[in-house]
Amino acid sequence: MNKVMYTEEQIDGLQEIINIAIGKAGAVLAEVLDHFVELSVPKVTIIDSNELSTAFLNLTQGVERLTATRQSFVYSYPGEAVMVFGADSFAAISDLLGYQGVEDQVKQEREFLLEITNMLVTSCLSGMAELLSYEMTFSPPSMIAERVKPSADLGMYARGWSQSLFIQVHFGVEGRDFKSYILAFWPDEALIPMRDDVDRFMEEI
Amino acid sequence: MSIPVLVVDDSALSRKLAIRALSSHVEIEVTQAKNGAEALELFEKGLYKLILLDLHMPKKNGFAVLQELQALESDTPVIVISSDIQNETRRRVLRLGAIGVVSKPVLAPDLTWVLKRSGVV
Repeated sequence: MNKVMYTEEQIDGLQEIINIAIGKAGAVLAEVLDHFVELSVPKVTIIDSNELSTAFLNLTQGVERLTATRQSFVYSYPGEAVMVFGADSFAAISDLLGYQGVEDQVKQEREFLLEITNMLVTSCLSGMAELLSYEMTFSPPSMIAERVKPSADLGMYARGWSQSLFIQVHFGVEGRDFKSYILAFWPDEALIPMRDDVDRFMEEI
Repeated sequence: MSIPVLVVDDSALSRKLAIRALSSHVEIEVTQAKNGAEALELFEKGLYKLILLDLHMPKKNGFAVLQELQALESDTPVIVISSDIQNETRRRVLRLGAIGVVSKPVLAPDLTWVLKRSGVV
């Protein structure tokens, strides 16, 4: 398959669509925590799938141990979202959630991280799909790694794909050592329909 | 007579939308900046009657721009246009001197409402 290219304008358009969507997701998280959420500029890239592992390792530079969750979704084509948390992220905000002193902290942490994954991934990606006039469906999230050293395993989700549309979003909580990233990626078959959707969005607004 | 406006956003699409929304209401002469640092440089060189400012940008974000404008005792009205719709964000930017906040994607009626309410045009 020939490589699919996006123009600078199309990448900018998609980045802005995601920017609007993460604003909504950030507001949801702020409401849950009753605390100010720090948002960053999302990054959108089209990369060869064999570069995903390197991209993942670059992203997690400086993170000693991490916990990761996964959620599949369908938007024209099936895609994957991986949410990465710094291993101490839950502890950094557990007081905001009223979980301090709770006996089974490990269970609480798993439940919270899965819940937050569902909340942020679905509001972020649904927000994007809504702007592009589509519906998106999601599978339940699952835990894929707990307190592990960053490794190149992310690439396994893109096995068999030649290119991926790769989106990185960061959420922080002000004054807390809470690190979380959403990484969403789509297979090569999705790149052309997605590009057409972005073009249509930019023409219509 | 057209009014000089500084439009600050890292997204070309968002700058285009903001310019279109504003020009549906008033005649404007636009200068564009892609980040906060560039905006402050342009601000020092030009005379603007209005600034449309994004918050989350590389190099220097919109909060930092508002802080610097406040330190410079600028009286140029600033309208923040952002996807960050947290109530706390709104409170903070208004405390930093913005005259209004409009959510992205910016629509002409929302911008017009802030402009009319604040008496800028």
